[in-house]
Amino acid sequence: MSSVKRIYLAVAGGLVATGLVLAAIGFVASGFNLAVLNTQIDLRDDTIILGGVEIDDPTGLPLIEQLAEVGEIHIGSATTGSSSPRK
Amino acid sequence: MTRDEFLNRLGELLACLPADQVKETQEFYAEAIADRMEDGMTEAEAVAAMGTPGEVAEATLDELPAVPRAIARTKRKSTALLWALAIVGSPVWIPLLLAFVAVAAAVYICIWVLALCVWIVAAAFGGAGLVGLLFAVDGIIIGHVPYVLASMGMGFASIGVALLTGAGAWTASKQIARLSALWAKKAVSPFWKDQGNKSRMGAEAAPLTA
Repeated sequence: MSSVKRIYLAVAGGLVATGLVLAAIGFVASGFNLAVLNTQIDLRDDTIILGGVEIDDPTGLPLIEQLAEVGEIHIGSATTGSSSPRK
Repeated sequence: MTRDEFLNRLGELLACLPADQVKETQEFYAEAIADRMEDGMTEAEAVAAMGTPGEVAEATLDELPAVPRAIARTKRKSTALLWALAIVGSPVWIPLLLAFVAVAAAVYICIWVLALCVWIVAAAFGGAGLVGLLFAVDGIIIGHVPYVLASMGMGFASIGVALLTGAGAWTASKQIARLSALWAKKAVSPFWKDQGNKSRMGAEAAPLTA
């Protein structure tokens, strides 16, 4: 096995190990609450729950803000600003 | 029989083959006869050691892949017969050939889809890892420390698994490339023989009577 491959596998293994340890610490820090491992984004009723904490306004949160905007699909001309489907 | 007579007769018997292949076979046997003469045999003895031209021609044809062999044997009987069979049998052999090509291509694609699946799994883990890290940033913004740790942990773990899966995918791709090359060689074997095997053709035929 070449040294490059060995380093690559060591980095990968290290990331997995570090990740598992961090996740375990987070789980313990939350008081063994499994909800800390969950992220729930429900676009139907705009419910966003990060690790058991509900977020009212996702503005400024990377990715979640963009995902929340996906729930709003505007159909119509930009000038009228209509959000109702055109029939 | 002299060397020239042997080679001329061999050329006549192999007239059903492409000219360059006939020339190649004649050159091989000319060299084999010359080698034996250098070892002290007379010309007649060296030619006799090759076997009869008929035996050598049969051995040469036997070394051909199945399809060219069948074409050559039919052509040797009659070129008109070959054309007649090709035309009359076309409703059978053309669909069969197309089906063969389709199956060979499908198997080839399936082999590579296996490799693609492993790469997709690796990419999915990588994507999940990046999303996990973004969620960790969200956790920092909302001030939820356990969620930050958990998300960051899952992100790192997913990226690590992606790297490991990527290494596996690379190894699998190399093996699959080898497998697909073997498959391609197997698929064309009824029609074509590679140069390495072709050069053995005469070598295997030569010891007939040696």
